Amino acid sequence: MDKTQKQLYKTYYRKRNLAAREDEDSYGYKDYEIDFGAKNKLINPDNFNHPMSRAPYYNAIWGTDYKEVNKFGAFGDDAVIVSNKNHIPLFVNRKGELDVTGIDIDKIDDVISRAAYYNVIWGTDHKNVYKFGEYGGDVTWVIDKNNNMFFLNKHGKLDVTGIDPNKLKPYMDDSYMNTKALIAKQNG
Amino acid sequence: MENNNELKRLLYLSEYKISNKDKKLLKEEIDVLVESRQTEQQALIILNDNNVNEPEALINDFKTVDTSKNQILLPLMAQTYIDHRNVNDIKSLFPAISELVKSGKIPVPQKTANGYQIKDKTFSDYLSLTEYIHGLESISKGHRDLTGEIKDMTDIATDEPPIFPREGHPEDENANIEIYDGNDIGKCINYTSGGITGQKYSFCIGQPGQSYWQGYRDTKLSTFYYIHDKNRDENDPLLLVVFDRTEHGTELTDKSNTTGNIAEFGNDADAYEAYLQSKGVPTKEILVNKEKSPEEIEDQKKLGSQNTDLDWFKNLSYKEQSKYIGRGHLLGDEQFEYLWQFKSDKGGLNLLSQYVDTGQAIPEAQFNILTGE
Repeated sequence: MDKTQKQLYKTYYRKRNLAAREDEDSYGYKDYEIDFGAKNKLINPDNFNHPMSRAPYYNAIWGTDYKEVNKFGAFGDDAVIVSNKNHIPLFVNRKGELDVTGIDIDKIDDVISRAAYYNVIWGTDHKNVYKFGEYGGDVTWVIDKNNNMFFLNKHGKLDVTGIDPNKLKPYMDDSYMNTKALIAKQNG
Repeated sequence: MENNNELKRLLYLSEYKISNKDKKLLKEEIDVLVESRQTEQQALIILNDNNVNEPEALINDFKTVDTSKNQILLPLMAQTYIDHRNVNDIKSLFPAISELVKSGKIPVPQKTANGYQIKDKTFSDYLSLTEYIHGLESISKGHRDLTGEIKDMTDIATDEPPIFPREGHPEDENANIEIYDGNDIGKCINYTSGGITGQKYSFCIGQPGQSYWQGYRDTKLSTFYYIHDKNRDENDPLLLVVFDRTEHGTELTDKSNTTGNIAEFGNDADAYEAYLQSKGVPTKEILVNKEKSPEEIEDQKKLGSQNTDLDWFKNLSYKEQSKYIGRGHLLGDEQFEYLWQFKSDKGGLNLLSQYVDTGQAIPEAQFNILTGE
């Protein structure tokens, strides 16, 4: 590739970046533009406001198939929450690898970010992971990709130890009973 | 080469004794004489080897059109004649090659087993070489002519100075307002996509690949001006206003892009104009409605619709090609490939730059050529 060619495609991206429209999917970029622009650092991913618009950019670099990629920064410079094709949240690093290095789980307040963290640790597909200890004991209430709900301990195992049934919300009663049944089944 | 140098030395010494010529001039003349003689000899050998009748006469004929230094094209002309035995064709092509070689736009073409070679381009036959040379000549000459006419086509779209403040009117500077002439779709695309304020706008007349600009021009004789009010901060919707002096009156659009209703002044275009006047802008003098020129009418007929035919495009003048691209039309793949082969020439590069500078997505096949993918 000669200097002229580089000059031309840089001009192309400069103007495409200016013409990109926020009201279009992927800001009006074609797939092939995103692919080349991402690999050659000709598009700034921070210009994309929506995680779904940002995903094609990172997929081109990482060779992944994420549906959404949030902005880096909320959890440090090297961690971001993505969601996969099943809309399962996960933490990845700048290389797109599953990674929770540097994430302080105690500082995470929302159920999706917590699910992203534990999905990496446990290798699971949970949509939501609630706060540990809210219902007595050291367990959490989770909702998985099939909308099954149950209680897990910090090892990601089914557990109802220490749960105070009085602290459960009415809609958690079934989860409590299901978890107990599953544990009994596991124990034979 | 060594023999040549020896011959040159002998000629120089013998001439030097009897000539009053400047040493440098004498040396140049001997160089030309010897080198030309050498290329002539090579050409003669080629013609003789191929049993061409009256080769000397043919070479003398070729010499009339080879204006390159030392007539370095003679051997190639002889080789070309072996392939394509039409003296008139060759005599019509090689002046262009001579000029392109002399101006450094191409090296001396080479004849190879695969055809003709110019740098990394191979032309399998005489016809494809001819098409390339004539295309390059046309683009190169077109660009040269146009640069004389309007400096540079890229500058039309990107670098034209504002029409206000006016030259020779230092008092205009006090207004702290710049007005840009939007009398060209290319300019409007540039201004709309950040060329003036660095911010991008959604004004439809400046969207690439759209025909709004021309449509408004055709239906109400729109005459667009971009008003950059530097008295306003960057979040003010009136920082950049599109002022359209149509044949029926004035229409204003600010950043919110609701034509006819701008911040502070609503639909009162007169009040906005009075505001400009209060700042010192002679609006009646500067923001005028412009009649359609005969050239504009002709251009619209010829260049108003997309036409992806290669021959049609090749037959446009350089200026028309530039105007066609400037209207935001996507080129056909063949048209793009045609221009791409001239990207090393200033004229070709200029058209390609104009094309990739419109802000619209080009088709994947062209994109792959652009990025070398």
